[in-house]
Amino acid sequence: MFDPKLYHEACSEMHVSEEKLQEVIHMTEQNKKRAIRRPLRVGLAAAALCALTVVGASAANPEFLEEIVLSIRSTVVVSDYQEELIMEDGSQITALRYPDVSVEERDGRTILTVDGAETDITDALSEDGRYVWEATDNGSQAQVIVTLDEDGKPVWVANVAAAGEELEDSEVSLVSEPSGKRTHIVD
Amino acid sequence: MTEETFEQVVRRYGDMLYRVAFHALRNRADAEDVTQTVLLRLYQQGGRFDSEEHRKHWLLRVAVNESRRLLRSAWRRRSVPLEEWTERPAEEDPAKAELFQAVMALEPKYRLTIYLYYYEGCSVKEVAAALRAKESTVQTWLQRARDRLRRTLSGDGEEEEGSSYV
Repeated sequence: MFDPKLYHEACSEMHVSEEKLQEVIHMTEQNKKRAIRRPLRVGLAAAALCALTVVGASAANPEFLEEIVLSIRSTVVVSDYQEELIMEDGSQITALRYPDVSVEERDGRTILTVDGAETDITDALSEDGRYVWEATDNGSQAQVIVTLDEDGKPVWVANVAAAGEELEDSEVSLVSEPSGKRTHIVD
Repeated sequence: MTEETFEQVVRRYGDMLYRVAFHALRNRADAEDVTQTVLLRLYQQGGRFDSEEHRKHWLLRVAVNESRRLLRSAWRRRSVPLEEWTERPAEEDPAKAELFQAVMALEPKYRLTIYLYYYEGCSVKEVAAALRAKESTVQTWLQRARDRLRRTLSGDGEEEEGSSYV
């Protein structure tokens, strides 16, 4: 006979290891520290550099942004997703451009638009629960992963890796809010 | 969510997530991976919930979804024999160990239903939401799980049915 009390006691003896919990806590602490140390690791946005996207604490600080733009001596376009910025002081910054992403429901179909190109991902989402868009240009990689949240609404994450780096090592991801608007940046 | 708040949440729900994932995957390493994945998603989500209950049930749903994803993945396309379990609670209590083993021998959907209903105290409606099933389906699963457990524990056990459907 199934004894709920006995089962409850058995389950109460199951514990996740302290090491794994500490790893998670440590990961989130490290993410915060990295964001403070290297706010310019990814991207810049300005009227003159309209294809690049700001990431990090500077996003809400227009004076700082202007200072950055005025400090750029020259740029070298490496690929669709990467530019090397040479600053006035001689330092070099890698700027990554995230693809312009939107997901919308249209006539009962889910349409993913990346840099203007549309893809109907309805079937992929219903069969696999996810859709992955990828592109490579001169060694730089861009990836957009669309999944379904707990309410069944599509949400997406965009990652970009500079030439020679792996997408899995991306320090910053661009994610959608549940409404599909691109507003949230995760580090 | 502040770091301090996140750590509190990690410690409050870490075991719950682990137990849910273990009931789905029957493997400590996979269950701990899912636990970490869900907690990181919680952190990224920002912790905006209407209540603690809302947070708990969000975590349960995400843990079930992540476990399902792992079950379906190519990395894990094999069943885990009972002998390979690395989590065996209550080994010193034969009745408890036998009961736990009997639950773990059920199909994943029945294991999770039993866990959510009897251990987490979820209502049928809440179990249905976590498992993305109809309430009537959950009622059926509960009944079938109890029937199978009764047969197994009374000595009329049947062979484990392999299925990756959670």
